Amino acid sequence: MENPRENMVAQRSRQRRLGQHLRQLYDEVVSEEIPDDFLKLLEEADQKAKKSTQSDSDASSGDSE
Amino acid sequence: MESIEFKSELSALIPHLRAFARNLCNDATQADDLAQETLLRAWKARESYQEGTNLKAWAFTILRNTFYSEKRRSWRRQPLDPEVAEATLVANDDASASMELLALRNAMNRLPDDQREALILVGAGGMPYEEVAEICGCAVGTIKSRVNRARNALAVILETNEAGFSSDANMSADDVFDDLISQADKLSGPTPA
Repeated sequence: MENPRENMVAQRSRQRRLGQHLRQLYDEVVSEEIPDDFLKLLEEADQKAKKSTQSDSDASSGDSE
Repeated sequence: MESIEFKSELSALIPHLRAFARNLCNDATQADDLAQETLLRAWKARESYQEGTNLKAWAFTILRNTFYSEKRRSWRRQPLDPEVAEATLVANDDASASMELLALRNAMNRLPDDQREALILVGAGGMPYEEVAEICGCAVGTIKSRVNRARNALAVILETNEAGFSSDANMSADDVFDDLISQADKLSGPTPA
C-alpha cells in the first residue's frame, strides 16, 4: 500500500526540518545579547589576578619573549 | 598565552557557552548560572590551557563536566517546567513553529544524557564529530552512533506523541490550540451550529 519512495522523501524532509529546528534552538541563544554580568565576571576575575600578581611581582618577571 | 588574549578569546565564546548551557538545562536562569560558573572555572584553569589547541572544545569540556557534577547534586532534579520552556519560546511570533520547537525540546529531554549531548553539540551546535568526541571523551564513532540513535529516537517520540508533549505540558499545548482555533473562528465568522 505505502509507497516506499514517498516514505523516504517524507522522512528526509522531516529530518531536514528537525535539523533546522535543532539549529534554531542553539542559534537563538547565540544571537542573544550577552548579559552584562558575564563580561563583568571576567573583568573582576582579571582584576583580582592582576592584584595578586602585583603583590608578588618579583616571582615572575617579563615572560613576553 | 597572555591573560589579556585568553580573556578576549574566552569572551568571544560566551554566546556559545550560553547556547550549550541553555540546551543542556532548558531553564534559562540555571543555564546562565552554569555558563558563568564555566567562565570562572576556565579562567582559573587558564594555565592548563595549551595554546594552539581548540579553546572552544576546552571550555565546552569544562561546561559539560560542571553540568554533570552539579546535576549529580541538584541541577535538573526537577523535570522541565513546561511554562518556563514555553516562555522562552514566546518571542517566536509564528505559533506553529514555536510549538514545534517546544515539542522538540520536550522530546530531547526524554533522550538519554549521552545521546542528548551529542545531538546538542553536533545537531544544534554544528560542531564537527572530532571536536565533540574530544569534549565527551570518547571515540568519533561513538558520537556518530549516538547522534544517529538520538535522531531516530526523536523522530519516534515526535511521531508517536503527535506534538511530543509530556502529560504535564498538555495544558499549555491545549492553550496554544485554543488560541489558534479562536483566531481561525474570528477570521471565518461564527461556526454554524
